[in-house]
Amino acid sequence: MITGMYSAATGMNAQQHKLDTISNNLANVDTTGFKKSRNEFADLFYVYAKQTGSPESNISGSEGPVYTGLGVREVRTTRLYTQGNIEKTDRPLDVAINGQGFFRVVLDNGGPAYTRDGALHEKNGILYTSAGHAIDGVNVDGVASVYDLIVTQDGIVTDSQGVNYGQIALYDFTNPEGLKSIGDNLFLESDQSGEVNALNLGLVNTTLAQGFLEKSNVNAVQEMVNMISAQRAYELNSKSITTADNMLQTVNGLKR
Amino acid sequence: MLRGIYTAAMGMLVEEAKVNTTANNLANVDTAGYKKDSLVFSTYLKQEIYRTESLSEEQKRSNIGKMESGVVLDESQAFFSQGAIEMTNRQYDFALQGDGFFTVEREDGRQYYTRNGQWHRNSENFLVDSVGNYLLTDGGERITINDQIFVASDGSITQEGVLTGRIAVVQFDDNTGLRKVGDNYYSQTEFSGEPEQNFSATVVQGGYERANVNAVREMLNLITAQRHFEITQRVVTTEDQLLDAAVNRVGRV
Repeated sequence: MITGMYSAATGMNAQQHKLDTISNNLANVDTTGFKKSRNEFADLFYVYAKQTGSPESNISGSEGPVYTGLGVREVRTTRLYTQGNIEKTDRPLDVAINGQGFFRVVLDNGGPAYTRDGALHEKNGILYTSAGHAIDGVNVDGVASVYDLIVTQDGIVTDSQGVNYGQIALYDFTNPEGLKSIGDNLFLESDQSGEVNALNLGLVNTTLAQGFLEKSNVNAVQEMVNMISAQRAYELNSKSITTADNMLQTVNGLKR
Repeated sequence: MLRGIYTAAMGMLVEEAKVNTTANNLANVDTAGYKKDSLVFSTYLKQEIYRTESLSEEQKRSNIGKMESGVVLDESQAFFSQGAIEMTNRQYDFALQGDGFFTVEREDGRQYYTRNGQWHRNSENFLVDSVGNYLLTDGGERITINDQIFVASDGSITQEGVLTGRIAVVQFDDNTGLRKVGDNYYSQTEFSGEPEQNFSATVVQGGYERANVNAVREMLNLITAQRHFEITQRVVTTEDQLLDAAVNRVGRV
C-alpha cells in the first residue's frame, strides 16, 4: 500500500504526544515549582530505492538518490529547568529558590526525593512541603510562632531571639534534566542525572527568598501557540492519509 | 497493446512517490533541524519520430518531433534552506544560521552531521544529542560540561571564564550529495565532498532550528498529486475502453 499513509500516522502520533505534553504543562500552570516539558522528535529511517551514483541512474542521467522517508519518532521528552516566576506572598514559610538546586525531602519509604516546591508547613517542629513530605536539616521545635521565623538567603533558619534551628540545605545534580519525575512535584535521582551534590550557598549564585513562592515556568501564551500548531499539524498529517486513501480508491477504479 | 496505458501507469507511480515524500515532510514538521525532501522527475525513453518517404532512390527521412513514453522518478533531493529559529533560552539549545552542520560522533566512532540543535548533558557530563550521541569540537573531541556554558556566535565555548573549545561547524561542497540516514543525521558520501571547517555560519545559543517544511506547499503537493493521479487513472481506463472496442467490436458489422 502507499507508505505515505504510515508515515502520516507516525506524524499524527507525534503530534498527539506533543498535545499530551502541552496539556500537562497547561494543567500545571499554577503548580508551585512545576517545570514544563517538551518533546523532541527525529526523522525515522529512509528506504533507498536508488543509491547516489548507482549504475541504474544511467537511464535518466542523474546521479542523485531516490529515497522515501518513513516518518517521525519521538526520541526524548526533556524537562526544562528554567527559573519559574517568583511570586511575593509575605508568608514566612514560603521559600523560593532563586537559582539552581532543589530542596531534599524524605519519602514515606525513607528514601530521598527532590523538589522546588517551597510552600512549607510546620507540624511538631518539622517542616513539610504542601504534599506532606518532610524537609531534612531543620527542626523548629520550640519556636514561639512560625511568624517569628527568619530564613536567610543562605537557608539558615533562626528566630528574632537569634536561636538557630538549622539550615535548609539545597542539592544539585550534574544534569537536572536527567532526573526522574514521580509526581507530587518530586524528582528522584537517576543514572542520567548523575550524583547529587550538596550546594554551598555561599559559593553559587543561588539564594533563598523568604516570603516568596516559585510558580511554574509554564508560559500560557507559548503553550497555547504550541497547542494551535500541534492541532494544525495533526490535521495536515490526516490530510496525507486522506489523499493516500483517495488514491487507493482511484486505483480501485482502474478495473471496472 | 497500447503504449499509452503503460505511460499513464508510470505517471500514477510517480504521483504515489510524491505523496509518500510529502507525507514524510508533514510528519516531520516538528522535527528540529529537519530539511524537507522534494522529488525530481524526468521523462523516460525519449524517442525521435521521423517520417520516411521512399519516393526517390534513397529513403528520405524528415524529423517530425519527439515523443516520450513515460516518466520516472529521477532523484530525491533534500532542500537545505534555513528553518525558523525558535528561542527557548535553554543553554544547551544551539541553532545554526547559514550553511553548515554540527558534527556528531556515535559510540562506535562513526561520525554524522546534523542541523538538530537540541543538546543535553549526559550522566558523564558530555554534551550529547536527543538520541545520546556526542557533539564534537573542531579538534574532534567530545565536549565536557563542568559549569554553565556560553557559546559565542563562532561556536567557541566558555566555561567558568575559560575558553574550553569550539563547536565544529562544517560545510560540504555539495549538500545534496549528503545521505539522509534518519535520527536527523546526514552521512558523508563521495558526492558531498569532505567536511570542511565553516567560518561563515553562526551559532545561536538559547534556540534551536525548526524544520523548514512549508505547510502550504506540502498541501499543494498533496492536491496536485491526487488530481494528477486521478487524471492518469482516467487515461488508463480510456485506453482500456479503446482496447475493449478494438478487441470486441471491430469484428462486428
